[in-house]
Amino acid sequence: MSLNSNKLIEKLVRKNLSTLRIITFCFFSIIGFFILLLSSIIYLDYAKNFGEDSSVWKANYVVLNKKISSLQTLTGQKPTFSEDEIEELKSQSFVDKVGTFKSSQFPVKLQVGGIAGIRGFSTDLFFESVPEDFIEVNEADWKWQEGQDFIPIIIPKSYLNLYNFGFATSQGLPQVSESLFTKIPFQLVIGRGENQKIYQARIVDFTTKINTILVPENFLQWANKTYANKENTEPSRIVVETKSQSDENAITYFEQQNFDINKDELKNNELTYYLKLAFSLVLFIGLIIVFAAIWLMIINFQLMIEKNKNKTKDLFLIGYNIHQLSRPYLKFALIFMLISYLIAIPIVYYILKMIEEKIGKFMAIGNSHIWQVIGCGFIVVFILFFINKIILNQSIKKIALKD
Amino acid sequence: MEIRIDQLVPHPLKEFGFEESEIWKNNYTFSSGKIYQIIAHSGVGKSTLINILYGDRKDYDGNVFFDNQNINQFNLSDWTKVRRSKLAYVFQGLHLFEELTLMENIQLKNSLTQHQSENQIIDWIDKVGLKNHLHQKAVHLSYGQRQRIAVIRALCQPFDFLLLDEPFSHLDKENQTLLLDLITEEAYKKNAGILFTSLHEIHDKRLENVIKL
Repeated sequence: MSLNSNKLIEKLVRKNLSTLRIITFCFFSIIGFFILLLSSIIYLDYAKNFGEDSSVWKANYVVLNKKISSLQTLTGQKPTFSEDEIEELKSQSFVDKVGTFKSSQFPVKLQVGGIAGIRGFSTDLFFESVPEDFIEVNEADWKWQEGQDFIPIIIPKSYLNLYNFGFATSQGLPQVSESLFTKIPFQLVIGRGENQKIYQARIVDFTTKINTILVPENFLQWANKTYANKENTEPSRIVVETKSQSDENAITYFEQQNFDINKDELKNNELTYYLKLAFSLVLFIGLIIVFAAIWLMIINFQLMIEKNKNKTKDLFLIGYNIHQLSRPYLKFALIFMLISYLIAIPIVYYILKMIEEKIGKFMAIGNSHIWQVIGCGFIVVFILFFINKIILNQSIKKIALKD
Repeated sequence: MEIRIDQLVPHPLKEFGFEESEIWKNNYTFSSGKIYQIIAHSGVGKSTLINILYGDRKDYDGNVFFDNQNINQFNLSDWTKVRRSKLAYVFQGLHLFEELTLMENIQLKNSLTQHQSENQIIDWIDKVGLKNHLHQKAVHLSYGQRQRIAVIRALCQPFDFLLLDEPFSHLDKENQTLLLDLITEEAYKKNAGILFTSLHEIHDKRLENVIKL
């Protein structure tokens, strides 16, 4: 009969474990962990996507241009941004990055050959470009090198709507889906007179955020040099990446400077901001509930230690040390916390599946962060365990030192 | 080991007159290998003395030295070491765990020190006449029976001094001799000292040092 000292202490401690209190603790822990896990996963999987109605642009940016007045039209003053103005904008605290729009200085004609019953047509066009960091499309699509005859284009989604719901219906032409549109080959006639060349082009993506036709920046630079003999002109539009969504300072500054911004876009940012705020709030509440549950457990153990005060003191007097005395409490704490956490996981999983079924139709979810979040949850469990350990050791020490 | 007391006086007894005391406000040295009987009426600090030596009370003036080491320098883990290897203590209240069996109470100490074999423990229990109660819970035993268990528990560790606080107060003459035999024999084996307190002097030829508190 080799009775282990830990087993004997456990036997002494276990007597004062109350089932009701354990169930209460586990119940609140499960709720806390559930809210914490669910809101973290939803935040990471869904909330990030809200507001990004176009995949082309990275988050937190605004496009600025100067307001055009009748006076400017009369005096011929150009609504462009000077170097100084751009520098000043860059120095603002809310600004992360500033990119300038470049526009084409050469004539462009777009031609579509008649295919499958669609009558061919041609139209005059212009191009603009922004630095590549501001655009998020498939890199393989959005590339141009000198000597390459193919040019990728991004057009506003409204152009597609204009064609589908205005032009096509009035002309008796078939409507074209987004994906089909990207498959239509165009010819671009660039330059004039002898310095003229035909390029192949294709629409690679659509944007709702800005009303312009975008081409890769390096192509525009090269083409301006080659076909217009001009390299740089002052930009009339600039794109600004702000540090946070819908910063009040940014809006007042833009208004002061008489810059024009797309109000819808700001509203969108604001909406995203509030949505994220709401999620953070839920996350925070989840955290509070978890801490409240853990606090309940700590108080519970304090009560138990208090009840076992004389036993603890006696065990200390016959030669047990603080760590040996706190071990059974810690063991129970860890077991109950892990059980609560492990029960919360499948509930979260089930609810997530339900949400996915409902929302999945409207929104594409990339990689779910569920496993990363669950992993982090385990770290939280262990952090809480160590906090508990410190508090337990302190109170046992206090009992041991009491006369 | 030597326990040296230097002008020791516990705070609650500070205002007391101690002209006759051989311990309080006095110097005294306990050496291992000897047996000391400390006699006093209630309220003169018998338990207080033992508890100071065991590190459980720190409300005193003066100094106590274990082999020239002042015990007020000891920290918690030093005391734990002392209680596992140098000082064995039979508490006045016994401090047994009622929900554990007789054997478990003893094992609680022995599993910590791994000092005695199980056979030795059972042998001792047999000697004090409790073999039939081995697996009975402590709560069901009489005070006298529990007292014997407490003594056996204290023997389940190496020690230089065995401290007993009024160990014979509830025992008849026969059991008193039985226990005295047991502890003196064990102390002799370890060349350890015994310090016990008592209300009245116990007359036995082995108890050579009688101290009046």
